[in-house]
Order: sequence, then structure tokens, then C-alpha cells
Amino acid sequence: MIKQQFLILFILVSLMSFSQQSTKDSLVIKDIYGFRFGIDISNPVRTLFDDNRTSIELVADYRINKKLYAAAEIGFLSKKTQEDYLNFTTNGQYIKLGANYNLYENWLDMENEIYIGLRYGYSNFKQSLHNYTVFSDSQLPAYTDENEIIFNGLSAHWGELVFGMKVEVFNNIFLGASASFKKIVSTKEPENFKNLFIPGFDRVYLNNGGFGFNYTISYRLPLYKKRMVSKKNEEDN
Amino acid sequence: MKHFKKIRFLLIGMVLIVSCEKDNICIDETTPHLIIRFYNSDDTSKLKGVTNLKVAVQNSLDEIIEIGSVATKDSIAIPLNVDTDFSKIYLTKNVNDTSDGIEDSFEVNYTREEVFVSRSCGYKTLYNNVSITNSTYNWIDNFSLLTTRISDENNAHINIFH
Repeated sequence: MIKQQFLILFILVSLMSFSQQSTKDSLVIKDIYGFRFGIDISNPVRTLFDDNRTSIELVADYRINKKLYAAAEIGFLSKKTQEDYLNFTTNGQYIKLGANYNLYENWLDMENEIYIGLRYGYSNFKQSLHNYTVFSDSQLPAYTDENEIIFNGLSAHWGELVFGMKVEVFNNIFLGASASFKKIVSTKEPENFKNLFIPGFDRVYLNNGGFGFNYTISYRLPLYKKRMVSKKNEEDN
Repeated sequence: MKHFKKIRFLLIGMVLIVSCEKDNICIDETTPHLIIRFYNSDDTSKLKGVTNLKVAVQNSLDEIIEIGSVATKDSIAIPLNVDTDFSKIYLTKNVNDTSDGIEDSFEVNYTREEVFVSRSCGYKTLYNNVSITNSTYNWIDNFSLLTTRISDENNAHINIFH
């Protein structure tokens, strides 16, 4: 898993350096503003290879000014979690709203980003507890309750800190990778159980924290262009 | 480029930190044991250890499972059945190579309540409406049930006088 993360980071970093070298000799440099939408690649891949997971996530952002992008993600998820003494399925949908701030100083008309972002996340979902086993540390038999309990109408609110990058690989086609730290603000917990997995948040760790990785491919619908004021000009003025 | 290097470092660092986090080991308090303390029946305020005590519990399959033996002890912790509403407990004292000892037995009856603990521990059983029945008095003089709810191991649940 970690190897994969490094590989993808490495590929994007290489793409970024590569695309820097192919700078055109144009004199008029314009920033393109537009609406960008795409899909998270990791969710369909995991759906394909992980029998316990079905999920999809759509992503979109809209450029507000030179550095700032309004960003949103929506997704659907069904995930079966098997623990030593628990076996449950989480079903639900989520939305994340926020913004990305581009820290990367592009060369001329390059359109790459290294950004830091914030998100507010909300999910509503249900948990189906298929069975649980009461742990017995002695020679006495353990007890497994096979009666399925369904907890409907659960919800969660959380915040995310996102670090990521986007590279324009072809005209208006972007590849992205990001990592996020998450922290639950509030949840509606099931009675005598806990939200151990939340759609969009993923696994809930002991401190109500979590993390995630996203890999996206997206298309930018260019809407208008703004003339870019180069640094040299600013200094001259 | 300066920014970029910093962030790349941050990203790689994040991947490393995050991969170390684990909560897969059950370290929380789970199903409580039945705590028994042994007192002197002549002076009921004084603890009195039991010599060469053997402890056994009858499980839900009617098998008698030996839980353990102790040389001299004035308090013991016994697991109760989590799959039935009673546990028959056998306490045999003065067990050694030449003697089977003196056996006493009693039944602990209860209703079970399963309470969620954590991801790694799952659920634990608490015992409510606890009562003692069918007790024998070969070496034991008296039982004293201290609580009708066994929810932790902080205090004794049963005192035995002998």
C-alpha cells in the first residue's frame, strides 16, 4: 500500500518536472479560469479488487482567483468491515465542501498545483451489525450473537486538512493526488455500538481521527482567461 | 521549487506517520470475572486463605472445566459462562497428590447484558440479577452475595466464610 502511494507521488512529481521543460516561447501569458470535474480513481479500483467494498467519488473544483479554488467531492459507499469480534456493513453517501490554496509558483503558462486545502465533510449512512462475539479469555466457550442489528439514520460531521498536487498532463486533463487528515466534529452514534467506519471519512481511529488518499483524473472546462501579470512587470512598476 | 521540496517532504512524512497507527489489540476492560473473597467464619472481618484450592466451572456443554489451582489464596477471580444464564462453580480445597480434597459447589444465576467496548474488543458481557442457588456446605459455612450486578472487577462480588 505504502509502495503504491510513493509510486504515484513519484509519477506525478516526474510529470510535473517534465511538463516544466516543455515551456512554450509565448509572450502573452494568460491564466485559464474554469470549472474542473473528475472522478477519484482509487474507488473504482478498490471496488474491482475488494469484494467487501463498493464505492465511487466524484470531484469538482472552480477557480476563484489566482491561488484559490472552491472544491467539492461527493461519493457513495458500501463497505463490509470484519474485525476479530465484529462484522458489520456501512452504507451511505457523503459530501465534502471546501477550498484549495495553490502554493506552487507556476512557470509561465504552466497550470500545475501543489495545494493545501480544507474541507467540511458530512455523511448520512446506516450500519448493519451482522454478528458479534463476546470475547472469552478462558476455556469457557465464547458467545456469538448472529441476530443482525440495523442502525438507520446515522450521520457524521468532520473536518479535513488536505495536501495534494495536480498536474496538467494533456490540455485541460489533470491528474491529482492528495492525502488528508480528518477529525470528527460530531456524530450520531448507534446505541450500544460505534461508528467505526463512516462513508467519506473511512476508518475511524481511536481518537476520532482518520486519514485518506485520493487519486483523481479530471477535465477542466475552460470558461475565461485572465491576463497574468508577471513578476518582472510588477517589479518594473 | 523551494515550496515544492518542503511539501514533498511533508507528504512523504505523512504517509510514514499514518502507517504506524494501530488499534487492533484489545486492551480495554472486557467481560468481568466473578471475584470471590474468603473470610474466617469465626471472625468475619478477617480474610482466611484456602489451602490447595482447585477451581472448576461447568460450561454450557455440561463439561467441568478446571480453571486453576492455587496454593493458598484469600481471593480468586473466576470466569462465568457468557453463553448461558448460569455457571456452576466447583471449589475443592486441600487437593494434593494423595487426596482429592473436599468439594463444594454452587450455581450463580444471572441475566446477561452485552455492552459494546471497542473495535478490537467487540462486546463484553455484564451480569445482572445475580443470585446463588444449590450451594453445598462441606467446608464452606456461608455465602454472602455482595451485589446483584457484576459489571467490573474493582470489588468482590461474593464473600465465602469458612
